[in-house]
Amino acid sequence: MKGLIRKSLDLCYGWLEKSPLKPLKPLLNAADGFFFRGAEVTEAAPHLRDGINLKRMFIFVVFAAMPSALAGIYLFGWRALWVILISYVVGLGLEVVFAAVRKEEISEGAFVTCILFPLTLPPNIPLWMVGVGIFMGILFGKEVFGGTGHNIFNPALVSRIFLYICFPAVMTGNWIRPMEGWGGFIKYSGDLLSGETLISASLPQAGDAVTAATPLTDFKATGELAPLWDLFWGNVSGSLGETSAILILLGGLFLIITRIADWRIPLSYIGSFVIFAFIFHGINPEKFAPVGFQLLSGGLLFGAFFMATDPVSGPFTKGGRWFFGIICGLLTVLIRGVSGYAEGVMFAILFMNIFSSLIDELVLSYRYKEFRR
Amino acid sequence: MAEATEKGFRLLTRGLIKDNPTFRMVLGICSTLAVSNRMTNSLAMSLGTTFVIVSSSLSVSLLRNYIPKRVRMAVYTVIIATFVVCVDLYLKAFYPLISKQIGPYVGLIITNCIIMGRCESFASGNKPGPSILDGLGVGMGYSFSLILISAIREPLGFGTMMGYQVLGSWWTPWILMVMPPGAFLVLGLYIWVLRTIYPEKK
Amino acid sequence: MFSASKSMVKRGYNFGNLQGANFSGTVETLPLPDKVIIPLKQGFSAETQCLVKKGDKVRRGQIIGRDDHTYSSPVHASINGVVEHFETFMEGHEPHFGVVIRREHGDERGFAPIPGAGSPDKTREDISEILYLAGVTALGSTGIPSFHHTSDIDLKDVKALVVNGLSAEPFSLPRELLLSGKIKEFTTGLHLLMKLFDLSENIHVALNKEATVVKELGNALKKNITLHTFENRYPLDMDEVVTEITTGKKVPDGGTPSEVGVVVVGIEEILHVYDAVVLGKPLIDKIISLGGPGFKNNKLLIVAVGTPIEWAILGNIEEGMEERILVGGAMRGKPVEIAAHPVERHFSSLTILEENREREFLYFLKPGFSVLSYSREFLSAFFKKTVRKAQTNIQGESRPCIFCSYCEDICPRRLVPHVYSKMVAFGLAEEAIKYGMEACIECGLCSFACPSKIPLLENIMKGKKELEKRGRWSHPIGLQKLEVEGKL
Repeated sequence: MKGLIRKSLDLCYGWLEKSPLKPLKPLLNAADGFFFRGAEVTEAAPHLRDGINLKRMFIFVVFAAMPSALAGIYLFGWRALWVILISYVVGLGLEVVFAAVRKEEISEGAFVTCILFPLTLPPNIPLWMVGVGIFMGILFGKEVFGGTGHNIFNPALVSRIFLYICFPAVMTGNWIRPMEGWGGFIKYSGDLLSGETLISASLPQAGDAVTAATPLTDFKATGELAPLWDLFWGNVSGSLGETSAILILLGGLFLIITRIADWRIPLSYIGSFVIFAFIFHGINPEKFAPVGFQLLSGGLLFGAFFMATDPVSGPFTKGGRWFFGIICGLLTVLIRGVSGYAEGVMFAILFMNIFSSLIDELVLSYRYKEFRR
Repeated sequence: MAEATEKGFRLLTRGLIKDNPTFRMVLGICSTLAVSNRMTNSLAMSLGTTFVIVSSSLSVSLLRNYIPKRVRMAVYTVIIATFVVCVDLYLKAFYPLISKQIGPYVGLIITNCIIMGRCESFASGNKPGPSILDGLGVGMGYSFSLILISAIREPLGFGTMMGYQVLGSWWTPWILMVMPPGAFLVLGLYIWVLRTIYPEKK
Repeated sequence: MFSASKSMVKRGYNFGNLQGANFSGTVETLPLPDKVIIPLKQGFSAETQCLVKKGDKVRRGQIIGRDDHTYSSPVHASINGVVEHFETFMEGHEPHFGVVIRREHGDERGFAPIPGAGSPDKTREDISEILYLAGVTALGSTGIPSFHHTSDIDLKDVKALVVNGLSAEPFSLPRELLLSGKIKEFTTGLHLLMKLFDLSENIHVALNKEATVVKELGNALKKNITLHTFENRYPLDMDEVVTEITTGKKVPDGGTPSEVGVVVVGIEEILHVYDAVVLGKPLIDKIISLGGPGFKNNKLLIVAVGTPIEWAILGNIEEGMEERILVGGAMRGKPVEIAAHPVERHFSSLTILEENREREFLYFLKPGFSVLSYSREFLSAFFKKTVRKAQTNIQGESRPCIFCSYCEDICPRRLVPHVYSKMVAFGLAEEAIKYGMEACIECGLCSFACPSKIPLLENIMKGKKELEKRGRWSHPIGLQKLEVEGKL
């Protein structure tokens, strides 16, 4: 196995040298680097290096998002898998193009973006929209700033906000109820390859797919509250990966235990969210839903564990992370309660992303004030 | 003669790509973002602006030796405002629909930095002939950029072109493209592409 | 100045159980080599004047280089033999001058004793003279002060003495092991130094919490000596840091403990003081540790000063691996360019690491029981007892910084190395001063922990050098400082 891969890679390298496809070398390098660790050794002190590398970090985020993704497939049918696959094909394709143009190595950051983005989409989104969204998100959220590590906003959320603003009807209006029993593993919602699902935004109504508003939209419209138990297990309508609170918690804890995500952001985000939601619910229970319902519904947990913890677009100082989370929580409560939108997690995080470097600068200027005489 | 023609030609064309006011100098962004969502609006706006640039350049060039240096800005503003009012009244009279859609932005041509920039940097120091050519060139550059941007925004945002349905009923409009942020994205892409093809001279 | 001493104790990183870092307490003696090279400049010392000619017969312990006028300490012949020739060798970019002595007789361990030595009851002046003649005064990062010119600090300015018994750097000399069975010698040596410095308080001994001798030493030490125990966290064993965590005195950014009147000596150096004053033995034998996965047996070894490194490690290297030989530990050690380089008197450990260029298959998916990692993404983070493997492979690929802030978390000084690295890359080294770059002690943990494999320490040092070049920041230390002050 190992030898075979090595041999075929070497063969490809030899072939690529002579072929006109030479600009695609980053793709081959990426494949090589995926299977085989680099041979580089340290050049100066310190002579040791930690075993961690970005590949492992990013793959672990994908692992952490896996339970939610599987839940998406289980609840909403095999179509969810197509949504994820299209996101990967378009996102990685764009990444390869940019790597080839810039003559850089392909960065693994796109792996994370391409799994997180589809999990924030409604299950019956037209497939072409997924492609457009991830394309725009990676292009305007990441590549225009210079690629991985230079982006100001979380690319997955940029993708989502692009779709959200471009196609509000699809992104906020059309939801389907999750499947009963064995659900999606044996069923398929919608007709995959009919022209209708591929290009039009009209709803696939075939099979067991039944329209149903998300709990938050329901509350906004009618003041009805979904049962907490359903919210906890995920048996409600909503985006692909956001419905099951328990699986998000599972993935989030995995991220925190492996120290990929800083525990401060989810804790401060959810903590401040709970506090503010409690206060506002006390003041105006008509507009602000009860704490438990708000906590488990919508994208709050997914956003707090997977989106807000993106190290590139969030602040890097400890104090900054606390502050970031607290303000995110407050904004989420306010947007959900007061604005016209039912959900506010995405707006809150993107809004705070703008300020993350400012927050860092403030924290650092306080921490190092002795050096600024 | 040939030399003069060539010079005139250069004045006329440099505004298109090389010194394009929108893509290269990033001037006049306000109106660009606002009106470029439909091709008709773009055309009206670009014609109006070109007219204002050319006529105010000509006026400033004719009056250049009589305008006191200290109050030149005020004088330019008065001249430009005169022509803008002309354009506004013309649109109101003959194309009330367009005037309604791009209404406030016509008045705001006065504040378009491209016009003031041409008056200050070129017309105030050159003869009327070259000034007209320069104004026409820059106006064309502005129009060019507006048309390019709306050529993307209108089909994506409405599925139409000049008001005619071009993309069929299956098309889902991209609402972002109708809003000014969409113009930002398109403008950014154009600037990116043009700067990659024609790199800035160091 | 940036005070971080309190939190410092809890910061840093415990490398844990490394393959090739377990030493037994037994000390072996290396047979004397056929020839030794005695550099005329060893330790904290300017180059001494050579007192021998080619063909001269020298005795073990005889002074062959001495210069009373500059900041230096005498050097000794470490074997009985004949001066064969003189040799110039390069250490970095500086040429060094060495005396090559060929051994004439067998493995003779006798030596020419230091005149006046032999008992612990000596006056201050006597101790100073004996230590100077024994060459012990050249030990320590900035020398041990005496009535001669031997350190960048004057004897009268010494306000505190810190004995560094920590060895948290991977593969560095395990100092606490030297104490077993030598407590009496240690206390005697310590009292001799206290007498020399005229100190009766402000004496601190730092020791690893888990060392077996802690209790024994605690009982043996008098009341005026404070014994501190710490967890085995790198870089607590660095002189600057150990000064801060024991005395509470803040060492100036980029400076040495001597600038605040503190002398830091290691346990092995105290034992050398005892040897010199009580036994009359000059500094001709040195205990060094052989550590790292590249050695067959890790051990403590008594080596004659001047023994070529290749002789010291002969027959003890793991076969079939590309090795990297370092003087010092694995974090701050200097690579040995020539294997014939002599063991100098301030060396304390030799480390051999494996240059692992193997392209491991699907490395990033491995469970990682034996991976050395600060992150918790490998199982080794949850099984503390497993043996970790140290190697020089960067175990990943260079990527842009993703602001994971591992470098910030691991930094013992609460600095932000990734910010400095970026600023230096953009040519904004001046800006980095505002964020405290000069407080960096160059421990190297940031480079170690970086998942993007950015050489953060290298970039910071580049920035400091650039600042020095532009005259924005300079803090000469040690011999360099003496040179700037015109004393050398």
